[in-house]
Amino acid sequence: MGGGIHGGFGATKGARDVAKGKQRFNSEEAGLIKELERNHKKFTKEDIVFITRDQTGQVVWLEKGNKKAGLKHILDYGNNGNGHAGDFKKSLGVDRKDIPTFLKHIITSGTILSTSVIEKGHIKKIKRVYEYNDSFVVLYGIGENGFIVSAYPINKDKL
Amino acid sequence: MYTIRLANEFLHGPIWVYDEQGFIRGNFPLVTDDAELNRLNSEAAELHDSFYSDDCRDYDEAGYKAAYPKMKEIINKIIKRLNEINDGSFTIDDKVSNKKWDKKFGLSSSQK
Repeated sequence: MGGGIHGGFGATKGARDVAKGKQRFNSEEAGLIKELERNHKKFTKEDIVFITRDQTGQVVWLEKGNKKAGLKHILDYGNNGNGHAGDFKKSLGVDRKDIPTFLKHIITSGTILSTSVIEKGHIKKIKRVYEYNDSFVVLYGIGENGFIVSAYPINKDKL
Repeated sequence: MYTIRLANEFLHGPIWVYDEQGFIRGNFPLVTDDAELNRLNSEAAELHDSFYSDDCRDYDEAGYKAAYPKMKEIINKIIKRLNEINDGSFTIDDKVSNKKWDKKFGLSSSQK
């Protein structure tokens, strides 16, 4: 067991720049943004916290968001206004400021344990569970377009 | 003592299990294996998530507010069922119920 992801998740310069409101993208990220544009995905470039390609090949991105979706939701508003920052710290030891970098790392390099597609009419929502360590996984709720709505740690005993 | 927190979340449903140390748990058979609670959790999840836009970027808060009486009905059923099965090992923390909206819609408070 334990093929998960360990180690520190200190904020990268990019993440710090994002925190300061100075958006900057490396060439790979810029390419992914162009891909979103080509595919007519709705996004707000200046609000992108990170963008990456997951191991299924899908482009997924996190935006600053609002109360119901994105980083603000994950940190402070998910779970009916409680946010998940405390859950990430309590369960995984990840500090609030490091959560974006942590999430990107999991999506880019983590092992996908399961993917569920929830269809309602023409709308598809994706639930993806990533391995973290012996005890915990990280669950992502993603729109079919790749937009990250929410993310939170879950004890493995739920699986 | 465990805490069963009721709080809506995308693709999750309102029922969250927290242990004595505050860790999120998934396997608390008394609650997580209860067929009625699972059914109600799914029903609430579907209602809550139905107000996300097609691309999941936006949420129809007005639509959710209009549907609040239905959500409240489901939450009250969940609380009723939790009270029925509670053997003293957990408490209930209802974050979904909104006192202001309860008053506006003339709804009864949660049965804790």
